[in-house]
Amino acid sequence: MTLGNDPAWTPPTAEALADHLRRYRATPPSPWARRLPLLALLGLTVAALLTPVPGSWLLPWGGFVALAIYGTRQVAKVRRFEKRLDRARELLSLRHHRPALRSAWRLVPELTQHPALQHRAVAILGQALEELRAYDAAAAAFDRLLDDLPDDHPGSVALRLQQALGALFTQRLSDADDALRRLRGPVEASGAPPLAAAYRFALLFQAVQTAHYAEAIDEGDGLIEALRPLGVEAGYGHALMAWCYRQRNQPEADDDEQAQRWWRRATALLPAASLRHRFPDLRGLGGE
Amino acid sequence: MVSEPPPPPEAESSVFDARYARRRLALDTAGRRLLFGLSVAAFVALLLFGPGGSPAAVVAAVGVLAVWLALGFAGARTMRELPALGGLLDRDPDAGEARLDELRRQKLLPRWVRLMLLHRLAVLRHRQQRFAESAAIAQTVLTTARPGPAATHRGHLLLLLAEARLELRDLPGAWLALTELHRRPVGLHEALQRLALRTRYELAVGRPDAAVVGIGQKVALAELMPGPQCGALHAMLAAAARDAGHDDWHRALWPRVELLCGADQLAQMRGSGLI
Repeated sequence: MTLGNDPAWTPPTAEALADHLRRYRATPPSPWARRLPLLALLGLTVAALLTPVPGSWLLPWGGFVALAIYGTRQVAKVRRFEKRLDRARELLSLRHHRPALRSAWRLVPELTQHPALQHRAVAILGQALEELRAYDAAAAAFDRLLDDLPDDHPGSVALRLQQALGALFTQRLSDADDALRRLRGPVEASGAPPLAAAYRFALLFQAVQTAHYAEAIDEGDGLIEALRPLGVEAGYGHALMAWCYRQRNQPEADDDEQAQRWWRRATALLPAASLRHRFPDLRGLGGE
Repeated sequence: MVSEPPPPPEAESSVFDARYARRRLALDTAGRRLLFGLSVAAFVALLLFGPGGSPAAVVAAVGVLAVWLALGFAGARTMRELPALGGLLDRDPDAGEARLDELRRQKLLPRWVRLMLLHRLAVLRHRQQRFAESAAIAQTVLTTARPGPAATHRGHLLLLLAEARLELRDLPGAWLALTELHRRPVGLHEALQRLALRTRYELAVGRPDAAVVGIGQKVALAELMPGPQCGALHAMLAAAARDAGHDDWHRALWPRVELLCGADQLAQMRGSGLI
């Protein structure tokens, strides 16, 4: 694995990523370390009180100024990290997955003193790896986040759902089935439309991966509305539905026409090349 | 700087008092400056007379310093609570609003911390669709001098102000906010929101020809938006293409609109004259 400036670098393996995250695990500074500057200031004040030299009163003031400079520098440092994280997130949004991944990878070792910021970097790593179809490595990143986040954290349901999708992509169908069953309740309880849409997409993808095409079609009512919160990415779901019709292939039910209809919907939202890149099996659709 | 527009004709009743907010900011500043001055005076006195002088003077000087430090730490504690407050406002708006009120009641907060709290209040009022109030708060924060670190939220406040004024049909006010937004560098997220607001403004003032300039790039940016916003911008661009005579773009975009927007969303946009 190479993650330097060489444009030929490849995404890390799951083992390399787990090792990277283990080596640079963020640990928040202890409460005593956080109070250390204050204690130092207090010590200087006491020293000034106990030292009957006229200039000794400069000590606490000097300490106060040093503390102010230290605090300002710390705030500026955190802002610089936040800017770099924002930039990495923007790269991910713009679908520049490799630069986003490289940026997040480099940030992880620098954020060992800032757990919350490191979590953001690891989340970017996981999402970029998933987009690059490095699903095992993405799972390692999401595992790490899930280890650190409390169970009731709003982001943990989304992370577990992403893990379930990764399991489906890598044919770990039993793991995916378990995860999706356990997620049904939390997704419904969250009431978040994007989460419900992603869950519906995962169920459709599960049906495709397990060749339950007829069931997917039977449960396809309201699919357009259900996937709508995904924006243009709903096109992936429409393409999977087209695949289901193509695979069931019942002439009396006009499956071929339905397949074409769903494929037209999918390609209205996303280019056919993107659909086939994400789901190589779809090459048979759309005239290829 | 965004100038103060005339009040919109049908503004809802506003409970935010800009004059009171400015008075609080002025009191904070005056109080903190007074304490700072006293701290410097104490420093000079201690240098001149040393700790061997009057014990009362030493205690007073140390006391002034302690109050100054305590205020600094109170401000820092409030600042550290701001991210958690944002999360609480997302999860439980009522509890978040109660906590926000508590924090705003604190005395002698650093100016920029009070401005950050006002920013959170503006976001909350905007979510509650109390647009006159959110616009008034955003206007107050934006026109306050020396915002310090609170200046980082200026772009977000301008977006909020532009949207609130569009909701209130205050088009000149929205134009001022959008003009100010175009003068400053913004990140991707803000640029997407600015594009949506600008398109909405251009349709509202009857300039679909302006909305379709660079339509290909605008569609590419719209694709990066979350579902409902993505659908709304597609619908607005499709309507602009139709009105500006670009039927090819209208035909290309409308099937997307039907997939991205629900019937309710389309009806709402038609009702407000956007499409």
